[in-house]
Amino acid sequence: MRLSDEDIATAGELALGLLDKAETAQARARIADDPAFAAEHAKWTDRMVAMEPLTEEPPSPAVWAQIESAIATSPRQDNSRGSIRIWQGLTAASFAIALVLATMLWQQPEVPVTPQQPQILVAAIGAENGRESVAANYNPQTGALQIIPISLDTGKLYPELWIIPEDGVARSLGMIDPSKPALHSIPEAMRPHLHKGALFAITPEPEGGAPGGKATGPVIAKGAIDTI
Amino acid sequence: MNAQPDASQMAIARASRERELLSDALGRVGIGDRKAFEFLYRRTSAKLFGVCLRIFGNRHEAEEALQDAYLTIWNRAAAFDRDKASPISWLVAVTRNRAIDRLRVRDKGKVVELDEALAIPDPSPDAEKQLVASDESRVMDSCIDRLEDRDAKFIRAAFWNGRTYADLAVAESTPLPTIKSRIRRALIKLRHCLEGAG
Repeated sequence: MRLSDEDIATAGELALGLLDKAETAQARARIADDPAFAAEHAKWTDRMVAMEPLTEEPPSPAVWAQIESAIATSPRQDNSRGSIRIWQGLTAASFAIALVLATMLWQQPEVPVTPQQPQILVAAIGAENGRESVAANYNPQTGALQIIPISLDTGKLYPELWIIPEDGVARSLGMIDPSKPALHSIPEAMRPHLHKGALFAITPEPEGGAPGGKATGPVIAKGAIDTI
Repeated sequence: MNAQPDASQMAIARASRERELLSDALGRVGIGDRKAFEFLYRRTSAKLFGVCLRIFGNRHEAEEALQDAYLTIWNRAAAFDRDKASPISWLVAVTRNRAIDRLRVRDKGKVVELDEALAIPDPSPDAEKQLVASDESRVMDSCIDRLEDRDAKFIRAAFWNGRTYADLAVAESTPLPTIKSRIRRALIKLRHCLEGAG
Protein backbone atom coordinates (compact mmCIF):
# COMPACT_ATOMS: atom_id res chain seq x y z
CA MET A 1 0.00 0.00 0.00
CA ARG A 2 1.39 3.40 -1.01
CA LEU A 3 1.61 6.06 1.63
CA SER A 4 0.11 9.47 0.97
CA ASP A 5 2.30 12.57 1.21
CA GLU A 6 0.44 13.44 4.41
CA ASP A 7 1.47 10.09 5.94
CA ILE A 8 5.07 10.57 4.81
CA ALA A 9 5.19 13.96 6.51
CA THR A 10 3.58 12.61 9.70
CA ALA A 11 6.05 9.70 9.88
CA GLY A 12 8.85 12.28 9.48
CA GLU A 13 7.42 14.55 12.17
CA LEU A 14 7.20 11.58 14.54
CA ALA A 15 10.83 10.57 13.89
CA LEU A 16 11.97 14.17 14.31
CA GLY A 17 10.06 14.54 17.57
CA LEU A 18 7.93 17.40 16.29
CA LEU A 19 4.50 16.08 17.24
CA ASP A 20 2.74 16.98 20.48
CA LYS A 21 1.83 14.26 23.00
CA ALA A 22 -1.59 13.41 21.59
CA GLU A 23 -0.34 13.36 18.00
CA THR A 24 2.65 11.24 19.06
CA ALA A 25 0.38 8.67 20.70
CA GLN A 26 -1.79 8.52 17.59
CA ALA A 27 1.19 8.12 15.24
CA ARG A 28 2.77 5.47 17.51
CA ALA A 29 -0.42 3.45 17.35
CA ARG A 30 -0.15 3.46 13.55
CA ILE A 31 3.37 2.03 13.77
CA ALA A 32 1.93 -0.98 15.54
CA ASP A 33 -0.57 -1.90 12.84
CA ASP A 34 0.57 -0.23 9.61
CA PRO A 35 3.81 -1.81 8.29
CA ALA A 36 4.24 0.77 5.50
CA PHE A 37 3.96 3.62 7.99
CA ALA A 38 6.34 1.82 10.38
CA ALA A 39 8.92 1.35 7.61
CA GLU A 40 8.62 5.00 6.58
CA HIS A 41 9.12 6.09 10.20
CA ALA A 42 12.25 3.93 10.56
CA LYS A 43 13.65 5.29 7.27
CA TRP A 44 13.37 8.85 8.57
CA THR A 45 15.89 8.03 11.30
CA ASP A 46 18.23 6.62 8.64
CA ARG A 47 17.79 9.77 6.54
CA MET A 48 18.55 12.07 9.47
CA VAL A 49 21.71 10.07 10.21
CA ALA A 50 22.71 10.17 6.53
CA MET A 51 22.25 13.96 6.49
CA GLU A 52 24.74 14.35 9.29
CA PRO A 53 28.54 14.15 9.27
CA LEU A 54 28.68 11.81 12.28
CA THR A 55 32.01 10.52 13.47
CA GLU A 56 32.28 7.09 15.06
CA GLU A 57 34.29 7.22 18.23
CA PRO A 58 34.81 4.63 20.96
CA PRO A 59 33.50 5.75 24.36
CA SER A 60 35.79 5.30 27.38
CA PRO A 61 35.87 1.78 28.90
CA ALA A 62 34.20 3.13 32.06
CA VAL A 63 30.89 3.39 30.16
CA TRP A 64 30.59 -0.36 29.59
CA ALA A 65 31.75 -1.09 33.14
CA GLN A 66 28.89 1.05 34.49
CA ILE A 67 26.31 -0.44 32.13
CA GLU A 68 27.42 -3.95 33.07
CA SER A 69 27.13 -3.32 36.80
CA ALA A 70 23.76 -1.61 36.34
CA ILE A 71 22.25 -4.60 34.53
CA ALA A 72 23.81 -7.03 37.01
CA THR A 73 22.13 -5.41 40.02
CA SER A 74 18.78 -4.36 38.59
CA PRO A 75 16.49 -6.80 36.82
CA ARG A 76 15.14 -6.01 33.37
CA GLN A 77 12.04 -3.90 33.50
CA ASP A 78 10.10 -4.82 30.41
CA ASN A 79 6.76 -6.61 30.37
CA SER A 80 7.81 -9.81 28.68
CA ARG A 81 10.17 -10.59 31.54
CA GLY A 82 7.41 -9.89 34.02
CA SER A 83 5.10 -12.32 32.31
CA ILE A 84 7.78 -15.00 32.43
CA ARG A 85 8.05 -14.44 36.16
CA ILE A 86 4.29 -14.78 36.56
CA TRP A 87 4.37 -17.96 34.50
CA GLN A 88 7.18 -19.35 36.65
CA GLY A 89 5.15 -18.47 39.72
CA LEU A 90 2.15 -20.32 38.35
CA THR A 91 4.26 -23.37 37.70
CA ALA A 92 5.59 -23.29 41.22
CA ALA A 93 2.06 -22.86 42.55
CA SER A 94 0.64 -25.73 40.47
CA PHE A 95 3.59 -27.77 41.59
CA ALA A 96 2.77 -27.14 45.23
CA ILE A 97 -0.90 -27.97 44.62
CA ALA A 98 0.05 -31.21 42.92
CA LEU A 99 2.24 -32.17 45.85
CA VAL A 100 -0.51 -31.45 48.36
CA LEU A 101 -3.12 -33.31 46.30
CA ALA A 102 -0.83 -36.26 45.80
CA THR A 103 -0.14 -36.43 49.49
CA MET A 104 -3.84 -36.18 50.36
CA LEU A 105 -4.70 -38.95 47.90
CA TRP A 106 -1.95 -41.01 49.34
CA GLN A 107 -3.08 -40.58 52.91
CA GLN A 108 -6.78 -41.21 52.28
CA PRO A 109 -6.67 -45.01 52.67
CA GLU A 110 -4.88 -44.69 56.00
CA VAL A 111 -8.09 -44.08 57.84
CA PRO A 112 -7.00 -43.95 61.45
CA VAL A 113 -4.44 -41.17 61.69
CA THR A 114 -1.90 -42.45 64.17
CA PRO A 115 1.48 -41.15 65.31
CA GLN A 116 3.00 -44.23 63.70
CA GLN A 117 1.85 -43.06 60.29
CA PRO A 118 4.63 -43.57 57.75
CA GLN A 119 6.74 -40.55 56.98
CA ILE A 120 5.98 -39.65 53.37
CA LEU A 121 8.91 -38.32 51.39
CA VAL A 122 8.41 -35.85 48.58
CA ALA A 123 10.47 -34.28 45.82
CA ALA A 124 9.94 -31.55 43.27
CA ILE A 125 11.96 -32.64 40.25
CA GLY A 126 12.45 -29.58 38.07
CA ALA A 127 14.75 -27.90 35.62
CA GLU A 128 16.63 -24.69 36.30
CA ASN A 129 14.71 -22.90 33.55
CA GLY A 130 11.46 -24.00 35.16
CA ARG A 131 10.28 -26.00 32.15
CA GLU A 132 10.43 -29.65 33.04
CA SER A 133 8.80 -30.57 36.28
CA VAL A 134 7.63 -33.71 37.99
CA ALA A 135 6.25 -34.15 41.48
CA ALA A 136 7.17 -37.32 43.34
CA ASN A 137 6.18 -38.82 46.67
CA TYR A 138 7.44 -41.98 48.22
CA ASN A 139 6.24 -44.25 50.99
CA PRO A 140 9.32 -45.89 52.56
CA GLN A 141 7.06 -48.41 54.35
CA THR A 142 5.65 -49.90 51.16
CA GLY A 143 8.29 -48.87 48.61
CA ALA A 144 5.61 -47.18 46.48
CA LEU A 145 6.76 -44.18 44.46
CA GLN A 146 4.15 -41.97 42.90
CA ILE A 147 5.27 -39.88 39.92
CA ILE A 148 3.10 -36.95 38.82
CA PRO A 149 4.35 -35.33 35.62
CA ILE A 150 3.40 -31.66 35.34
CA SER A 151 5.47 -30.63 32.37
CA LEU A 152 7.92 -33.10 30.90
CA ASP A 153 9.03 -33.12 27.30
CA THR A 154 11.88 -35.29 26.07
CA GLY A 155 11.02 -35.01 22.37
CA LYS A 156 11.64 -38.26 20.53
CA LEU A 157 13.38 -39.79 23.56
CA TYR A 158 11.90 -41.22 26.76
CA PRO A 159 12.34 -39.96 30.32
CA GLU A 160 14.28 -42.20 32.67
CA LEU A 161 14.27 -41.62 36.42
CA TRP A 162 17.40 -41.97 38.51
CA ILE A 163 18.16 -41.85 42.19
CA ILE A 164 21.50 -40.38 43.25
CA PRO A 165 22.28 -40.84 46.96
CA GLU A 166 25.28 -39.39 48.81
CA ASP A 167 27.76 -41.65 47.00
CA GLY A 168 26.98 -39.74 43.80
CA VAL A 169 26.22 -42.88 41.82
CA ALA A 170 23.10 -42.65 39.63
CA ARG A 171 20.91 -45.75 39.88
CA SER A 172 18.07 -46.24 37.47
CA LEU A 173 14.51 -46.38 38.79
CA GLY A 174 13.16 -47.11 35.33
CA MET A 175 11.24 -45.19 32.71
CA ILE A 176 8.46 -42.83 33.64
CA ASP A 177 5.28 -41.87 31.82
CA PRO A 178 5.38 -38.17 30.93
CA SER A 179 1.64 -38.06 30.17
CA LYS A 180 -0.05 -39.19 33.38
CA PRO A 181 0.57 -39.95 37.07
CA ALA A 182 1.76 -43.47 37.82
CA LEU A 183 2.74 -45.64 40.77
CA HIS A 184 6.09 -47.39 40.73
CA SER A 185 7.09 -50.17 43.07
CA ILE A 186 10.69 -49.69 44.15
CA PRO A 187 12.62 -52.98 44.47
CA GLU A 188 13.72 -53.92 48.00
CA ALA A 189 17.43 -53.55 47.18
CA MET A 190 16.94 -50.00 45.92
CA ARG A 191 14.79 -48.76 48.82
CA PRO A 192 17.66 -47.69 51.16
CA HIS A 193 18.79 -45.16 48.52
CA LEU A 194 15.48 -43.28 48.66
CA HIS A 195 15.84 -41.13 51.74
CA LYS A 196 15.88 -37.47 52.71
CA GLY A 197 18.71 -35.63 50.88
CA ALA A 198 19.07 -38.12 48.02
CA LEU A 199 18.55 -36.69 44.56
CA PHE A 200 16.08 -37.65 41.85
CA ALA A 201 17.20 -36.94 38.29
CA ILE A 202 15.59 -37.37 34.89
CA THR A 203 17.48 -37.90 31.63
CA PRO A 204 16.16 -38.40 28.09
CA GLU A 205 17.06 -41.90 26.90
CA PRO A 206 16.32 -44.22 24.00
CA GLU A 207 13.25 -46.44 24.15
CA GLY A 208 13.70 -49.14 26.79
CA GLY A 209 16.10 -47.05 28.84
CA ALA A 210 19.77 -46.21 29.03
CA PRO A 211 21.86 -49.10 27.71
CA GLY A 212 23.89 -50.80 30.45
CA GLY A 213 22.24 -48.74 33.17
CA LYS A 214 24.42 -45.71 32.40
CA ALA A 215 22.67 -42.45 31.54
CA THR A 216 23.40 -41.19 28.05
CA GLY A 217 21.35 -38.02 28.05
CA PRO A 218 21.84 -34.82 30.05
CA VAL A 219 20.00 -34.28 33.31
CA ILE A 220 16.95 -32.24 32.29
CA ALA A 221 15.36 -32.14 35.73
CA LYS A 222 16.42 -32.89 39.28
CA GLY A 223 15.21 -32.50 42.82
CA ALA A 224 16.21 -33.55 46.33
CA ILE A 225 14.01 -35.78 48.47
CA ASP A 226 12.58 -34.10 51.51
CA THR A 227 10.08 -34.75 54.26
CA ILE A 228 6.78 -32.92 54.08
CA MET B 1 33.61 -0.41 -15.03
CA ASN B 2 33.53 -4.09 -14.12
CA ALA B 3 34.91 -3.56 -10.64
CA GLN B 4 32.15 -1.11 -9.75
CA PRO B 5 29.14 -3.48 -9.45
CA ASP B 6 31.24 -6.11 -7.68
CA ALA B 7 32.33 -3.62 -5.06
CA SER B 8 28.82 -2.35 -4.49
CA GLN B 9 27.42 -5.89 -4.37
CA MET B 10 29.99 -6.78 -1.76
CA ALA B 11 29.04 -3.70 0.23
CA ILE B 12 25.36 -4.70 0.07
CA ALA B 13 26.17 -8.27 1.17
CA ARG B 14 28.26 -6.94 4.06
CA ALA B 15 25.48 -4.60 5.14
CA SER B 16 22.85 -7.33 5.08
CA ARG B 17 25.10 -9.70 7.04
CA GLU B 18 25.66 -6.97 9.64
CA ARG B 19 21.91 -6.38 9.79
CA GLU B 20 21.29 -10.09 10.44
CA LEU B 21 23.96 -10.21 13.14
CA LEU B 22 22.59 -7.18 14.96
CA SER B 23 18.97 -8.33 14.60
CA ASP B 24 19.87 -11.71 16.08
CA ALA B 25 21.79 -10.08 18.92
CA LEU B 26 18.90 -7.70 19.69
CA GLY B 27 16.51 -10.64 19.68
CA ARG B 28 18.64 -12.40 22.28
CA VAL B 29 19.00 -9.22 24.36
CA GLY B 30 15.18 -9.18 24.35
CA ILE B 31 15.18 -12.40 26.37
CA GLY B 32 17.85 -11.18 28.77
CA ASP B 33 21.04 -12.56 27.16
CA ARG B 34 23.92 -10.54 28.67
CA LYS B 35 26.53 -12.00 26.30
CA ALA B 36 24.49 -10.86 23.29
CA PHE B 37 24.16 -7.44 24.92
CA GLU B 38 27.92 -7.14 25.29
CA PHE B 39 28.37 -8.19 21.65
CA LEU B 40 25.84 -5.55 20.61
CA TYR B 41 27.65 -2.92 22.66
CA ARG B 42 31.05 -3.77 21.17
CA ARG B 43 29.55 -3.61 17.71
CA THR B 44 27.50 -0.42 17.96
CA SER B 45 28.80 1.78 20.79
CA ALA B 46 31.19 3.82 18.60
CA LYS B 47 28.35 4.71 16.25
CA LEU B 48 25.85 5.47 19.01
CA PHE B 49 28.51 7.48 20.86
CA GLY B 50 28.84 9.53 17.65
CA VAL B 51 25.09 10.21 17.89
CA CYS B 52 25.43 11.35 21.54
CA LEU B 53 28.47 13.48 20.74
CA ARG B 54 26.53 15.18 17.96
CA ILE B 55 23.73 16.00 20.41
CA PHE B 56 25.80 17.09 23.42
CA GLY B 57 29.04 18.26 21.89
CA ASN B 58 31.14 17.07 24.85
CA ARG B 59 32.38 13.65 25.90
CA HIS B 60 31.23 13.82 29.50
CA GLU B 61 27.54 14.40 28.81
CA ALA B 62 27.66 12.21 25.72
CA GLU B 63 28.97 9.27 27.77
CA GLU B 64 26.24 9.71 30.38
CA ALA B 65 23.65 9.79 27.62
CA LEU B 66 25.19 6.71 25.98
CA GLN B 67 25.01 4.75 29.24
CA ASP B 68 21.39 5.78 29.64
CA ALA B 69 20.67 4.76 26.03
CA TYR B 70 22.13 1.26 26.44
CA LEU B 71 20.15 0.67 29.64
CA THR B 72 17.03 1.65 27.69
CA ILE B 73 18.07 -0.74 24.92
CA TRP B 74 18.55 -3.51 27.51
CA ASN B 75 15.09 -2.91 28.94
CA ARG B 76 13.24 -2.44 25.65
CA ALA B 77 14.99 -4.83 23.26
CA ALA B 78 11.97 -7.15 23.35
CA ALA B 79 10.03 -4.42 21.54
CA PHE B 80 12.40 -4.49 18.55
CA ASP B 81 10.64 -5.92 15.49
CA ARG B 82 13.12 -6.99 12.81
CA ASP B 83 10.39 -6.92 10.16
CA LYS B 84 9.65 -3.25 10.79
CA ALA B 85 13.03 -1.60 11.19
CA SER B 86 16.71 -2.21 10.67
CA PRO B 87 18.49 -2.84 13.97
CA ILE B 88 20.79 0.14 13.54
CA SER B 89 17.96 2.60 12.86
CA TRP B 90 16.12 1.25 15.91
CA LEU B 91 19.25 1.65 18.06
CA VAL B 92 19.93 5.15 16.73
CA ALA B 93 16.27 6.15 17.30
CA VAL B 94 16.30 4.89 20.92
CA THR B 95 19.63 6.62 21.57
CA ARG B 96 18.57 9.88 19.94
CA ASN B 97 15.25 9.93 21.81
CA ARG B 98 16.83 9.24 25.21
CA ALA B 99 19.55 11.83 24.57
CA ILE B 100 17.01 14.47 23.51
CA ASP B 101 14.94 13.74 26.65
CA ARG B 102 18.05 14.42 28.75
CA LEU B 103 18.86 17.53 26.76
CA ARG B 104 15.35 18.90 27.28
CA VAL B 105 15.49 18.25 31.04
CA ARG B 106 18.89 19.95 31.19
CA ASP B 107 17.75 22.99 29.22
CA LYS B 108 14.33 23.32 30.80
CA GLY B 109 13.50 26.97 31.36
CA LYS B 110 16.67 28.04 29.62
CA VAL B 111 16.22 30.45 26.73
CA VAL B 112 18.14 29.01 23.83
CA GLU B 113 19.41 31.56 21.37
CA LEU B 114 18.36 31.22 17.77
CA ASP B 115 21.90 30.81 16.50
CA GLU B 116 22.70 28.25 19.18
CA ALA B 117 19.53 26.31 18.45
CA LEU B 118 20.26 26.12 14.77
CA ALA B 119 24.00 25.76 15.02
CA ILE B 120 25.30 22.88 12.95
CA PRO B 121 28.95 22.03 13.32
CA ASP B 122 30.87 22.11 10.06
CA PRO B 123 31.85 18.70 8.86
CA SER B 124 35.51 17.98 9.42
CA PRO B 125 37.52 17.55 6.18
CA ASP B 126 37.79 13.79 6.86
CA ALA B 127 34.06 13.37 7.35
CA GLU B 128 33.44 15.39 4.22
CA LYS B 129 35.71 13.10 2.28
CA GLN B 130 33.81 10.06 3.60
CA LEU B 131 30.50 11.58 2.60
CA VAL B 132 31.59 12.29 -0.95
CA ALA B 133 32.96 8.78 -1.20
CA SER B 134 29.60 7.03 -1.22
CA ASP B 135 26.87 7.35 -3.86
CA GLU B 136 24.20 7.38 -1.20
CA SER B 137 25.72 10.41 0.48
CA ARG B 138 26.02 12.18 -2.86
CA VAL B 139 22.31 11.67 -3.44
CA MET B 140 21.58 12.91 0.08
CA ASP B 141 23.74 16.01 -0.46
CA SER B 142 22.07 16.91 -3.72
CA CYS B 143 18.61 16.46 -2.16
CA ILE B 144 19.54 18.67 0.79
CA ASP B 145 20.82 21.25 -1.67
CA ARG B 146 17.40 21.34 -3.26
CA LEU B 147 15.79 22.27 0.05
CA GLU B 148 15.77 25.85 1.18
CA ASP B 149 18.71 26.42 3.49
CA ARG B 150 16.44 27.42 6.34
CA ASP B 151 14.29 24.28 5.97
CA ALA B 152 17.28 21.96 6.05
CA LYS B 153 18.45 23.71 9.23
CA PHE B 154 15.00 23.37 10.84
CA ILE B 155 14.87 19.67 10.09
CA ARG B 156 18.32 19.13 11.56
CA ALA B 157 17.60 21.29 14.60
CA ALA B 158 14.45 19.26 15.31
CA PHE B 159 16.16 15.88 15.14
CA TRP B 160 19.56 16.72 16.63
CA ASN B 161 18.72 19.56 19.01
CA GLY B 162 15.23 18.50 20.02
CA ARG B 163 13.65 21.72 18.75
CA THR B 164 9.87 21.69 18.67
CA TYR B 165 7.57 23.58 16.31
CA ALA B 166 7.05 26.09 19.12
CA ASP B 167 10.83 26.66 19.49
CA LEU B 168 11.20 27.19 15.76
CA ALA B 169 8.17 29.48 15.58
CA VAL B 170 9.59 31.68 18.34
CA ALA B 171 13.06 31.65 16.79
CA GLU B 172 11.64 32.66 13.41
CA SER B 173 8.96 35.01 14.78
CA THR B 174 6.53 33.09 12.58
CA PRO B 175 3.13 31.61 13.52
CA LEU B 176 3.40 27.94 14.49
CA PRO B 177 1.01 26.64 11.76
CA THR B 178 3.13 28.35 9.13
CA ILE B 179 6.31 26.67 10.44
CA LYS B 180 4.52 23.33 10.64
CA SER B 181 3.25 23.35 7.06
CA ARG B 182 6.63 24.60 5.82
CA ILE B 183 8.49 21.71 7.49
CA ARG B 184 5.95 19.16 6.35
CA ARG B 185 6.39 20.34 2.75
CA ALA B 186 10.17 20.17 3.12
CA LEU B 187 9.97 16.61 4.51
CA ILE B 188 7.81 15.46 1.58
CA LYS B 189 10.16 17.12 -0.92
CA LEU B 190 13.25 15.56 0.67
CA ARG B 191 11.65 12.12 0.75
CA HIS B 192 10.59 12.18 -2.91
CA CYS B 193 14.02 13.43 -3.95
CA LEU B 194 15.74 10.60 -2.05
CA GLU B 195 13.39 7.80 -3.11
CA GLY B 196 13.13 9.07 -6.69
CA ALA B 197 16.89 9.12 -7.07
CA GLY B 198 17.30 5.76 -5.34
